[in-house]
Amino acid sequence: MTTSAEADREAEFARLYRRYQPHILAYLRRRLPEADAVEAVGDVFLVAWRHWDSVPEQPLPWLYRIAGNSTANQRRRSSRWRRLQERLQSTTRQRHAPDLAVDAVGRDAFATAFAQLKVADREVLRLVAWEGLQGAELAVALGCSVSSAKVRVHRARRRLARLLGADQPDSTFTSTRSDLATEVSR
Amino acid sequence: MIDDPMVSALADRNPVRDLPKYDDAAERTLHRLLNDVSPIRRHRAAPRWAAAVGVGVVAAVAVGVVVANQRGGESEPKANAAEAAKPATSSSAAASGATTTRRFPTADASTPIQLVVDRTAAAVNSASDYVLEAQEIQRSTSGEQLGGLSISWQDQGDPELSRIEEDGTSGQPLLDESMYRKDGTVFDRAIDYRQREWAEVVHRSKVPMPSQTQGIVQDIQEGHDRVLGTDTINGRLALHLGNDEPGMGREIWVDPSTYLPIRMTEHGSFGTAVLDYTWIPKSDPSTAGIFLLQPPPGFVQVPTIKG
Repeated sequence: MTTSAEADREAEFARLYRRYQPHILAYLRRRLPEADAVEAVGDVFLVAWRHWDSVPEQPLPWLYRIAGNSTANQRRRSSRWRRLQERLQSTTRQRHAPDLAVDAVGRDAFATAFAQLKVADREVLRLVAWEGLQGAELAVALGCSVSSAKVRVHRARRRLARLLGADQPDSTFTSTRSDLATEVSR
Repeated sequence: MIDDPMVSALADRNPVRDLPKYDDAAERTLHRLLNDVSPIRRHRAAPRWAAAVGVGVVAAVAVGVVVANQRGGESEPKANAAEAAKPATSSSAAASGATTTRRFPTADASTPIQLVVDRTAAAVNSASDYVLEAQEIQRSTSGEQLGGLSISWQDQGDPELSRIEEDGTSGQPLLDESMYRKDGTVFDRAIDYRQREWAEVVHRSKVPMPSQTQGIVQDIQEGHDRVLGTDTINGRLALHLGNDEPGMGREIWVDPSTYLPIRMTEHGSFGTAVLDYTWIPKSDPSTAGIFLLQPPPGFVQVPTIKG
């Protein structure tokens, strides 16, 4: 790449960052503790730089997708590695890294039902309710087709409705394919 | 937005409704990013991301948690580190998944990813006869080990023992922590070997304890993985799952006959984390009493451990 082309790419990247950094920071703050959110912003845009050729014309849903992956990684790292370090600060602290966005929805019956959803279902509903995504944008953020995104929203809403009605956790296996169910029952 | 009372209820609980202001700190992050990634600005010997991680490690050392290990250059954690570190736990007879009852056909590189994911989730969820041992080492982008060796043992029935060891070879832990549930109460006992202190906290909470196995299931079900092929991990054939999702950077190796995970790696701006899993049958004598931590003689009980 020529120096001129590199300078152009830098300028484009800076424009992308300045325009969408607040959106990505807000997304991350909804789901992670403040320090992790701030740290993860850099991770998201670092990935964007490395996949520069893949940046779509409407980059925000794509950036949300990267942020979602970063969030999952951040939570895993927090729950596994940092937790013992944090424990040394005080043994009375909350022990495991929470999905902050679960706490954010409150402590009532709705929150209880929401917390019982699988991670993927929760994220689908949050992208709709908090980031305001639907249609093609939601599909990009989820990394699937538009029709699949619609199905995932429908299923997540149905599962949440069932939990709100019956207040029973959704089994990990109830949504798996019938051939797997057959294998499991052998 | 979808006109749905449940979606509206969730929208009402949005914890960050207003976009944060683009400020000087954001601009500084941009310049740091550009300095790190741009070829025409790259003039430093070491990336600042690595330096940032180093600061974290130094901070950890300051509170006596971990000590940064300067032995760089190893690509994998030492195979016997966990064995040496454990408090008389798993023996050489400990299974690494190979003795699990086989329920599914053996997979190979041509097995559809969804079938592998579903079977792995099923295998992990039904591995209630095992104690899962997970040992983790993190390395910076330049290959230096970050912090100590972290080892944990977990029974899906709840009890868990976690340990941080200084360098992964001495067998001398810095910290042990055990959580177990009895009559609906969670007991949390920690021993700080440097300070020669121990503490116990009782949680009268019904909140589920963290589960390594559920974390693994969530990891693989979050999707976008594909079967990359087969590898040999610690001398065993393993099915290699990976993904090319931007920002994910995770790979998992599963036993092709039991479908139990045996290794997971994560790549990020911090470097690489390698987790090796061993599934120890509960019938193995090494697991007896593993979760009942006893402070050594002379250790002082304190209300909380400050490190």
